[in-house]
This record gives sequence, C-alpha cells and structure tokens, in this order.
Amino acid sequence: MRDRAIDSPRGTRVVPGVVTADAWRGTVEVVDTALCEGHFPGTPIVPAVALLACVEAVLYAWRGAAVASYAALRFRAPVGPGDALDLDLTRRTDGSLAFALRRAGKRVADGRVEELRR
Amino acid sequence: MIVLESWLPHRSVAVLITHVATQSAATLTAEARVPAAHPLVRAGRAPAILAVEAAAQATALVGATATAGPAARAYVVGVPRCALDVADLAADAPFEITVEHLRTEGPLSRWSFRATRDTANIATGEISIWCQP
Repeated sequence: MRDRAIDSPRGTRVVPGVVTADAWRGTVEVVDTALCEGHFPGTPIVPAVALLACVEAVLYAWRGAAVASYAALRFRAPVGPGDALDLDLTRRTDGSLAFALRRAGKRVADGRVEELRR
Repeated sequence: MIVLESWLPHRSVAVLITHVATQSAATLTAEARVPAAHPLVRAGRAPAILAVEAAAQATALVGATATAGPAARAYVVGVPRCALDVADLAADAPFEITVEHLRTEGPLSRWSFRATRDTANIATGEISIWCQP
C-alpha cells in the first residue's frame, strides 16, 4: 500500500476515506464544469473516460500502479457538475480490482480493473 | 466529406477526431488527437483511456454518415473489454482510431476499436454505445 497524494483530475476532488491493503473507499466530487467543456453544450455531462481517470488517479496513489486493462465497465447514469460520488475499489480473489461509483447509494458506474504488472 | 463540427455533438476541446481517413457502412478510420487544453491533460500528457472517447466519437461519425445527418447524441454505456498498451498519450500528437460495428440491438450498438500510433497499439477493445432515439 502506497501513501501518495491523489492527483485529482481537473474539475474533481478525490478524497480517501477508509483505506486498507485490499480496499479503498472515498469520494469523488465534480467541483466544476471543467471536465464537461464541449461535452455537451447546454447539457454538461462528465465523459465516462473522466470517471475512469479518477479511478486511475486513486489506483496510482493507493497502489503505485497503472491500469493494464478494464473489463465489464458499465456507465449506468450520467454524471454532471456538482455530483458527489462514493468510490469503492476492492481487490478480488483473481487479483483484479472491482470498482463502483455511487451517487446517493445508487450505482452510476462499475467494472473491473487489471493492474499493470511490473 | 464529413465536417466534424456539424456532425458531432461535441465541441471545443472535447472533439478528439481531426479527420476521417477511410469509412464504409460499418467501419471508420480517423485521425485523432487530444488537445493540449483538454481538461485531462497534465504536463502535456493525457490518460490513454481517452482512446475510448475517440472511439465513441468515431462510432458517432459512422452513424452520421449512415443517416446523412448530424450524429444523434450518444453515450458510452459499456466497455466490455479494453486493453491499454501505454499509460498515456502526448497531447496534440496524432493517433489513429479504427472502429468496426459488431451488432445493434435497439438503441444499443457494440463496436470493436483499435487505437494506434505508428502501427503500435495504444488501446484495443470493445465499446457499447447508447444512441438517443
């Protein structure tokens, strides 16, 4: 387990909560419209890949790891400016990590992450 | 000839496709790049996962071509698999994105994608797109 500061993507504030060797729990807050510039005019929506960039920032700070692959990603509801999300990352028995982003308890995105082996 | 600004719902730094190289009814190859002013760029580098966004925009262009009109607003709703061969991309550096239609069920369509630079893989996988009816 590493103890790096989280380099939150622009327009977000990623804050750790309960962190162990096998699980990371914290929050992702979309603090402004930076991530939504041009996506889309009049209907600002955080691009799905920006949510993954938050997951990658956590993974690097927590485990010093980059992402090798993703699997079974689902983006279940749009995320916009002002949204506050709970992020859980949990190590699975196969060595990969499962993640879920929830807004008010309801999943907005989830999937699996495989770390880059070094 | 596709005029990207009129065919994609994206604007400004969110537009990653720069021009279409080849296209058919079910495939499209385009040049893309991540603008230096994109919000995910840090110190001139962008997360490689942005290749998925470029793939999504390429699928929108295939749809726009098929209907001979501006692309409907569409969202990435799933990534069944995605392998990243690099950690990040240089901002403003061109890369190639190719998408191929696999199947459509109602408003959902599944595509394979491959992002490359100088023939080396950046990212490969499949994406699911939900198109606003």
